[in-house]
Amino acid sequence: MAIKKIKPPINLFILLLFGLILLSLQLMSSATQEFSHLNEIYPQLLVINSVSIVLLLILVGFNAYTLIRHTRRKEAGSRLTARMVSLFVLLALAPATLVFYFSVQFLHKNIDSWFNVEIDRAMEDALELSQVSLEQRMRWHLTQTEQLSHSLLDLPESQAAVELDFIRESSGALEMALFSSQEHIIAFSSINPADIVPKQPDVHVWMQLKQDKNYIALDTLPDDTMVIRVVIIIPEVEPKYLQVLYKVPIRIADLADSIEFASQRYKEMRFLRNSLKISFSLTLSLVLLLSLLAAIWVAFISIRNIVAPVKELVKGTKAVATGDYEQQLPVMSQDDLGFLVESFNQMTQRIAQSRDEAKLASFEVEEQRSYLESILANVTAGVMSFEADFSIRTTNQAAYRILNCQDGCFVGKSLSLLADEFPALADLFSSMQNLIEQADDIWQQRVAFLGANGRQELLCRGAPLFSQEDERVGAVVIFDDLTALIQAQKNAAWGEVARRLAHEIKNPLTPIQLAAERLQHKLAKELEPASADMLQRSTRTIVQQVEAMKRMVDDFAEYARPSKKQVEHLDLQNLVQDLLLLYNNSNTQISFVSDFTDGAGMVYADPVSIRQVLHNLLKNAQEAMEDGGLIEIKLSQVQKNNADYVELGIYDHGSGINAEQIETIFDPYMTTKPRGTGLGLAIVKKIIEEHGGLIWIDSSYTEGAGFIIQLPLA
Amino acid sequence: MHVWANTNFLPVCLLALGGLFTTPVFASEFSAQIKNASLEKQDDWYMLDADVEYVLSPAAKEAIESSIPLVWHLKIQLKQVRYFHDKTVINLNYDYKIRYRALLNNYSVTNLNSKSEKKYPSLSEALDSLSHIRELKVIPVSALKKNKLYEAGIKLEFDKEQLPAPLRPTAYFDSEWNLSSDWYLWQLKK
Repeated sequence: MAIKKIKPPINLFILLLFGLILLSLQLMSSATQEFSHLNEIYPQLLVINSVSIVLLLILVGFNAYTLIRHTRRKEAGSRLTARMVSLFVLLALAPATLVFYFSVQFLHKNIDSWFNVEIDRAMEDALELSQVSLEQRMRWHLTQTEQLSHSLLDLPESQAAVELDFIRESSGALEMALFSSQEHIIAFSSINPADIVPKQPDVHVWMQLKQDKNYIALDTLPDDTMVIRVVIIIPEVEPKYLQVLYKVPIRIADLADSIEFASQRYKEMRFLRNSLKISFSLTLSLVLLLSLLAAIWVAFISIRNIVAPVKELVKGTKAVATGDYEQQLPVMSQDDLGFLVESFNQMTQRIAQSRDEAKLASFEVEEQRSYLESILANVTAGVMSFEADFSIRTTNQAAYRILNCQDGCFVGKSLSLLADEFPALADLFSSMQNLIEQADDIWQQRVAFLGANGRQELLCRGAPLFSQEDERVGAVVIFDDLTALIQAQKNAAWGEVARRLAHEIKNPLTPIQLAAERLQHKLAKELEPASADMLQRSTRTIVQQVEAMKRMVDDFAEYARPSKKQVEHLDLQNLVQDLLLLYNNSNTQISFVSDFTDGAGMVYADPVSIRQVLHNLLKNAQEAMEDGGLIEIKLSQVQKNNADYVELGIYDHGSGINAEQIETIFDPYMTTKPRGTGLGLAIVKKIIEEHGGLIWIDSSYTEGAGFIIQLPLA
Repeated sequence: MHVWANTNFLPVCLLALGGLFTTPVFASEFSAQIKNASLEKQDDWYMLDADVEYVLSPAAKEAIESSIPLVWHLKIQLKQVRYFHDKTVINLNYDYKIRYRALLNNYSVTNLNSKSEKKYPSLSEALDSLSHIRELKVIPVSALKKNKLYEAGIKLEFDKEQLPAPLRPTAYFDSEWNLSSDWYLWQLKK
C-alpha cells in the first residue's frame, strides 16, 4: 500500500509567514508609542502590512475563485471544501468582527477619557502658576538690577568694568554687560572667566529698549540652562544699557521644565486625539484583516489538505461506479480519513477480485454452454427445451433439419402456435404437447406424421424439468428421425425376400417349366385329343405362370440389386426431354407440359437407373390416365438444410391416390393396378434413396397424383 | 545628500497600494510658495537670495499651538544641463524646525544644521524669519565651468516624517499637510 510521507497541514513556510506578520504587527503597534524608536519606521511598517494584506487578499481571492470554478464544474470534493471554508469564514468572521467592534469602541472611549475639562484647566493652571512664579522672580530681578544700576550711573567707562565685576559678584548674576547707545560693549563681566563676549540681546530686545522700555524675559542658554535676561536703560545724557543674566534656581527651573513638558505633552496628545483614534483603529483593522485573511488562506490550504483524501475517494468512487476497479488511492494520513482510504482500497481490490472470479466463472459457464450448444448442434437427434408455459426455449439445428424448418423459427413460440404456423407438423406438435403436458416422468413415444416430405416417423423421448424447489420449470424433448431407418429396415427385409425368392423360387421354376414342356411333348401324342387338349392347356398355364413367376422373381432381383452402378454427371433436363420425346411418339392422347429452370438439372447419378425411375413414374401416370390427359413435369433447384437439390415434380390428371394409400404406396407389392408386381414405385423409391435423394407424394396436389423427387445437385 | 527620486518614497508606495485610504493631493492651497530666487555672485561665492511664503493650514497651525514641532527642509540643487543626462553639481539641504515654547510663550526657530536657535514672540514673526533667505552660500564660483548652462532649483519641503506617528497616516493623504512647495527652477550661466 502506498503510504506517502505524512505532511502536517501547515508547513514551515506558512508558520514563518505568520511569524513575520505577527512581528510586523507588533512592531507597528509599538511604533504608535511616541517614544518608541520604531516610530521612525511606522510608515514602512504600515506599507509592509498593507502590502501583506493585499498579497493575502490576492491569495484568498485566487483560492476563492478557484474554488468557485471547481464548484461550478462540480469537481470532486469542491462542494465539501466550499462548505467547510464558508463555515470557517463565518465562524472566524463573526467573533473577530464582534471583538473588533468592541475594541474600537473601547479604544475610542478610552482615548476620550484621557481628556476632560478638569485636566485641561489643571494643566493650564499649572503652566500659569509656573509662569507667574517666574514672573515674580523676574520682577524682583528687575528691581534688583535697577538698584544695582545706580552705582554705574555717571561712572567713567574706564571704571565700569571693575564696578561691573563687583556688582555681578555681589548680586550673584551669571553675566553682566554694559552697552553703549550704539549697542557697543562698554564693559563685560561673567561668572565664567572663559567667556569673552556677552550673550548679545537680539533685535527684538533692542527694539524694545529703543522705545525706552526695560526688557525682562526668560531665556535659555545654548546648554538649555534657564536664565532671566534683564536689560535696563541707564538714564544718562548718552543712555547706556545694562544686561544682566540671572540664573533661575535649579529646583524652580526643573519644576518649570517639568510642568512645561507635561503641558506640551498634554496639548500634543489632545491635538492627536483623533489621529490616535484613527491610528489605533487602523492598526487594529490591519491586525484583524491580516489575521483573518491569513487564517482564511491557511484554512483554504488546510481544508484542501483535509479534503484531498475525500476528493480522491470521490474520484475513486466515480471510477468504481463506471466499472474501473483498478483504482488504488494514496494514503496521505493515518487518521480516520486514511483508514477510510485504506478500506476503500481494500474494497476495490476485493470487488476487482470478485469481478475477476465472476468473469472467470461466467466465462467457464459460457464455455460450458457453448460446448453443450455445439454438442447439441452437432447431434443428429433433435432437441427442444420448453419453458414452464410450454413455449419453446431452445431448439437445436438437428430439430430444424428433421422437421424441415428454417433455423430459429420455433424459439419463443408455443406448440399450438407452431401447429397453426406449420400445418404439415400440426400432428406432431399436438401429440408432443399432449405428451409433455401429461408426463410427470421420462417418456418415450413414436410419433408418425405426414410432413411436407412425405411420411415421417419420429422417436420422441421427453422429460419434465424441475427446479431445486421441485417446481416444474419446463420440459425437454429429444427426437430422432426413424423414417430412413425404418425404410432401410424395410428395404433390407424386402431385399432379403427378393434374394430368397430369386434363389429359392427361380431355381425350381426352370425344371418345372421344362418338366411341364416335357410332359406335354411326351404325352401329347399318346393322349386322347380331349386329354391332350387339357394337357396342353395345363402345361401352357404352367409355363405361363412359371414365366410370370420368373418375371416376378426378376423384378425382385432387380429390386434387390444395387441400382447405383455407374454414376456420372447427368443433366436431368436432357434425360427427361429424351424420355418425353419417346412418350410423345408412342401415345397421342397424352400430352406433356414441361416447366424447366435452365441449368437446374445437373445430378451425379446412374443414367440407366434414373431413366428407369422416370420411366416407371411416367408409365404409372400414363396408366392412370387411360382416357388421355395432361402430365406436367417441373424441374427446379431448391435449397434445403444448407444443401442444393434438383427437384423434379411429375403431376398427372388421373384418378389420384387415396389418403390411406399414401403411407404404403412405396412399399413392395403395393399396387392399385390389376396387373403389375407392385414393385414399380418401391424400386423407384429405392433408386432415389440410393442416390441420396427423396421421393414423396405431393399431398397438396389434388387433381391427380403428384410425385416430387429431390436429388442432390452435382 | 539626497537624490530627487527618493524624496517621495513613502507617499508613492502608499499610492501604489491602489487608493486604500483616500486620494492623495500633492499641491494644495497650503503649499509654501517660492516667490523668487536667484544666485548672485559675491566675491568668490554664489549666494542664494530667495523669498518664500509660508501658508500654514489650520491643522498645521493647531499642531504648532499644541507644541508639535514642524520641520522644513530647504533643498538647493544645481545641475549642469547636458544633452542626455544632467550632471548634479551640488545638492544642499538646510533643515529648520519651528516649535512653540509654552512656558516662555514664544516660537523658536532652530537651524538644525548649525543648531542655532532664535526665538520669536509670534508665529508670523518666526515664519517671517524663514521667509527671507539672504546671502546663503551655495557654491564657490570656481566650481562652475565657463559658458556652460546650469539649472538651479530650490524647494521647501515639509517633513511629514517628523510628525508624531499617529498623525502621519493622515498627513500623507490630507491636503492640509501638503505644505511643501514645488521646485522653483531657473537657469544660470557663468
